[in-house]
Amino acid sequence: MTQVNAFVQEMNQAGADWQLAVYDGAMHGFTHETGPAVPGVAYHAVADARPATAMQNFFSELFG
Amino acid sequence: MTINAQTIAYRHGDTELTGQFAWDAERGDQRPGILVVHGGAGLDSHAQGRANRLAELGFVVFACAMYGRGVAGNRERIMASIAELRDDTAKLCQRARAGIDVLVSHLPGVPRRSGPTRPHDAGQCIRPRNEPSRR
Repeated sequence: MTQVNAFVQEMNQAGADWQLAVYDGAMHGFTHETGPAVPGVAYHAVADARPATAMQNFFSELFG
Repeated sequence: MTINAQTIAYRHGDTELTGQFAWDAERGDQRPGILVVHGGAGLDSHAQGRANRLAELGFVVFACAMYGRGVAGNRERIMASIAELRDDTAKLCQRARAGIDVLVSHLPGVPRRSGPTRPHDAGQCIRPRNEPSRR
């Protein structure tokens, strides 16, 4: 979490409008249904669906 | 709904890039454009699929390319390209900016042309280190 905390601090110092979402159990490539079968990489259906919804909400906020 | 896809060749400086538009051909109204930036593997079926999903939501979508010709599918070249762009965030932004320029040049709907676009030397769509985006 050191890098995450540094990122949060950087955003706050810049006065940016930001948010951070953390999905438990999600590994690298969690939205990639056919990603490589290597350690540390895995598809995660819930973590794929939730940010997709969040993205649509973001677009609704931006574009109305 | 009829999702169309069209491949577009363009350039960033001397780098030849190939991106893909996706849009609902049954809609002729103005609608927002979305730039899709692929993951480490390059502009693959995953990124194209995400672009199609966004097109189904009504957006005009351009899935841009961050790697030049002959990189995707070659791990050594991919890693070299990632390192190059990671170490030069200005180039990273400019590469993405070239994609935005293609997207904007084709809005609001069906792509009007294909072929190289002029290179650009400024970009803000990806956060460079220490330069967060602001509203």
